Amino acid sequence: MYKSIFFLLSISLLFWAGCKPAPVVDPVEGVVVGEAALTDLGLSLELIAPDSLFAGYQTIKAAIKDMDTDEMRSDLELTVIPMMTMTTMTHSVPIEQNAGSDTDGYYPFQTVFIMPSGDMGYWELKVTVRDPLADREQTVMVPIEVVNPEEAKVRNFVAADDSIPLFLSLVQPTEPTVGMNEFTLAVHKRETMMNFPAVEGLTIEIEPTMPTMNHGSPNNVHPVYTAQGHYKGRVNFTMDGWWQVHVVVKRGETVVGETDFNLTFTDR
Amino acid sequence: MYARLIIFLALGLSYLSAWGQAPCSCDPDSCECGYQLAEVLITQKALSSDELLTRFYQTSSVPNIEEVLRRLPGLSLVKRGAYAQEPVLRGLGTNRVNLTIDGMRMFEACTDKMDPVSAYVEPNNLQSIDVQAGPKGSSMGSSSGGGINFRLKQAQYASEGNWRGYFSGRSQTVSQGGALRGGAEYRSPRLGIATNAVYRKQGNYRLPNGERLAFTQYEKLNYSLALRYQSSERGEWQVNLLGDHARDIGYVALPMDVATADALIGALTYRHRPENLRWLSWEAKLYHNRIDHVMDDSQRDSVAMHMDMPGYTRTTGGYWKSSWMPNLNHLMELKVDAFSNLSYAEMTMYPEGESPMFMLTWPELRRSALGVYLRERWQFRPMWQLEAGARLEGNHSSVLSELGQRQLQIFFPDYAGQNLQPAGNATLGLNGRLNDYWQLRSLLAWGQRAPTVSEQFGYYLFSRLDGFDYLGNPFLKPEQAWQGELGATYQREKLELKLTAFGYQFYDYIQAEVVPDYSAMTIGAAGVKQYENLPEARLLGGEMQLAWQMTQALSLVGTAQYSHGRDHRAAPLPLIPPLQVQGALRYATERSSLQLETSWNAGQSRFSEPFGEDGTPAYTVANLRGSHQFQLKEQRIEVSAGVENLLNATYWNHLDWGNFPQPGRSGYLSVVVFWERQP
Repeated sequence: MYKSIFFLLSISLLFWAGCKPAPVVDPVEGVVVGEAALTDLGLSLELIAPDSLFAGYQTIKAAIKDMDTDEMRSDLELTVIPMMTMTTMTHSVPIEQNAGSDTDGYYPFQTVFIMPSGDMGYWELKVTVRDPLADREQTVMVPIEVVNPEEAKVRNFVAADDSIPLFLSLVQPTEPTVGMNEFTLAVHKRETMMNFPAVEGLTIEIEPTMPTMNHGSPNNVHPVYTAQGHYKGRVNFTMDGWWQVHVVVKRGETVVGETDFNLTFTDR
Repeated sequence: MYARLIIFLALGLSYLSAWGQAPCSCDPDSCECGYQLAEVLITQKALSSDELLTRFYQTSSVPNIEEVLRRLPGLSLVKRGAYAQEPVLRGLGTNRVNLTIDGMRMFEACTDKMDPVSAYVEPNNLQSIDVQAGPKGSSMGSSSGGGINFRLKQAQYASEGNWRGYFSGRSQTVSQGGALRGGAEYRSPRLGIATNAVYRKQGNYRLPNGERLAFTQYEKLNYSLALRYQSSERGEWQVNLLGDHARDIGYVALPMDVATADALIGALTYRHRPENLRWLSWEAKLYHNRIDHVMDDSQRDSVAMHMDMPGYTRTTGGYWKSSWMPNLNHLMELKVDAFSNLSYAEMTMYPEGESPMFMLTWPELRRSALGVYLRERWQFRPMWQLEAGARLEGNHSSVLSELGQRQLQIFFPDYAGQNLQPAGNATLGLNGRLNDYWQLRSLLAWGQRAPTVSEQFGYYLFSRLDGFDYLGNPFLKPEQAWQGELGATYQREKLELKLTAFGYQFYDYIQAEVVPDYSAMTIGAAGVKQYENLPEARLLGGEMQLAWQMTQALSLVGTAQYSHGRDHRAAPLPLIPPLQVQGALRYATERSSLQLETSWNAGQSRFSEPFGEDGTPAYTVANLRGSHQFQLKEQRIEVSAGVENLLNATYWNHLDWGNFPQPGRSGYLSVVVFWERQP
């Protein structure tokens, strides 16, 4: 009798241990990189990113709250256009819009800032929010600050075949480690100053090396196209330190451009 | 009946043992010798028929363990510096030969084989060295090449309490260095304590052309304590502690030196001796040992970038062994042993002005093994004996470091981080006496060995010899070896000649092969090699040993050895020493001795080019030694002096890395003072 109670107890303990609830994610994890009031809609807007915005590919989340109740609104429609205002012109950058809000009520979107804020110009996000219930919308310009990362996360060159500028941004790894790493690039082209569509049909080859030691690593996998201009592969880092991933971009057999991504990290 | 017992033991010995078998006078220590075979005594205590050989091995005053090892039949040394040379038994290195200390498993902490376990013991720590070649030598652990067990010196009892001790100093011209040794012993009816310490310091040694060879220096301190206590009529406890601390060790043939190498060994043993050998006698031991090893390149100007390469091993284990003699024709031995070892090594490189680079060269590997060893000796006819032995062992490896696991997954995405490998050994031997003069020995053995930590998990371990980075392979199969051996011993009153021929056939032979697609990690390295199981390899050879007491004062001892190895492509195996003949002529009176030694090595033209070897010219070296003893009232003083490399020959052994010559002509002087105080 006691034995079976003990048995049941241990089993339930096991289950308890196995079914611990997932850790609660802090809703305001990260930093607020921009905010605005949508007074027409009675809403407030906060833009949240894991860290300061940087020149490169990253995810930004918009949190939209009711000004009166301070409750998150997850039923809205959001459109974002990044805008760089320079002395002589204004241009945008590649952006991946998501359909709506995520399960936590945020509106995530991905963008590739191709340069930092600074003397050359300033960055704003043109955010349009539509409230389908009220059938009203409002557009605000949210000023943001984009810093230059220590190692470039976006590279661009003019394609050798059609002379259209290509932008390669590093999606993964964001935090490289020793061992196997996903290596994903997002490729966009500048069709107009305001339009940066994703590019498919490329062949991308990568080769990681440690420039200090002049050696590489084995068993890497060249990135192949998945969706939205993303090319996913695998890169192996045999130790920590400074790595350089050489990227060759081809269309068919023609090399349209080459570039490098530097990744310096510590893992011990 | 008692006489028959003695005969049995004596036969067992003379049939099976190597030339330097332990005598069987059945004092508390050597009673064991009935089943401790192939034992080469180097103890101070010279006994009966071994006396001659003992003196030979002991030389006049043994400067270090290497000088003892290189004189044992079948043994050679791989020299990377003047210190910590790697023993090679019949052309098989420490990855195939288990080195144990008093039956304790211990593992080198250097990924580059700079610290074979033999580096952590000194001749004056030792009672004897047991050399067992081939899969037959698996009593200490599964093996394809055999085992070398360094038996620690034990404290002794005496019918009346007394103290004794010694102190010695030795100085050597060639390296402007020397050694200080001292020891003290207490003996009483139920308690024995023995302690000793050695301090050695050597500068860079001088080459035959008079120049000093940089990076051959070292300094070390070694101390040990042995305690033995008779707790009851049939039982005794034994404690052994040993510490070894080496500093500033130069490795001329390697790109790095060693800043510190520290070992600590501790063991507790309980021994039960039955009243009668027909009853079960047994011994249980628990032990722990730890090695910390720190490589250092700060003295080297030419390095591309500074590196740190520390490593350590921790081993805890124990065994229970027993022997049983159900009747006078059977002797059975059972041993159960287990150990758990942790091996960790890392490497950090510091490029100037850039981010340091870090990796694990051994991934914090936990290896545990459990083994059972059984041996039976059956004297089925008065002069004939059959020996059968077997060992079964399970080896479990698991990678504890998460980083190490990720490193491995680059090469082996399917490796789960742990694996279990069984290994077995079996031996069958038949020995007999044909007539008064001739004895015959035959042996067939089979064995497997688990791959070493480096072979399985090593990560870009650079070998200076071939210039390749070595990668481990966790999916290696155990290596298998068949051993066949035939031997004959001719014995006269004043002469003993022992001949042995052996053959090893390996399957799944573990060797590193070039992987052309991988790029080398080390700057300037030629490429990457990874360990693989090669289909087969073969090793053939023979040994000859001679001891001849020509007159009362004049004696001659000699050894010769030859090995021939080839891999599955019929290419020569690495580490194969050429034909070697060593001899010593000794003239000894009661107080004085004079000894001339020569060693002749044929050149080696069969070498393994892929392994980084090249041909080695033939050479002859000669040493001259003399000693004299002065007896004072309570003290005895022994003065020894000699000249090593008398002809100032420029030579190196085939197994020496980098073809750096051995020391030139060197004189030494050694003074030992022994004292003894009765109560």
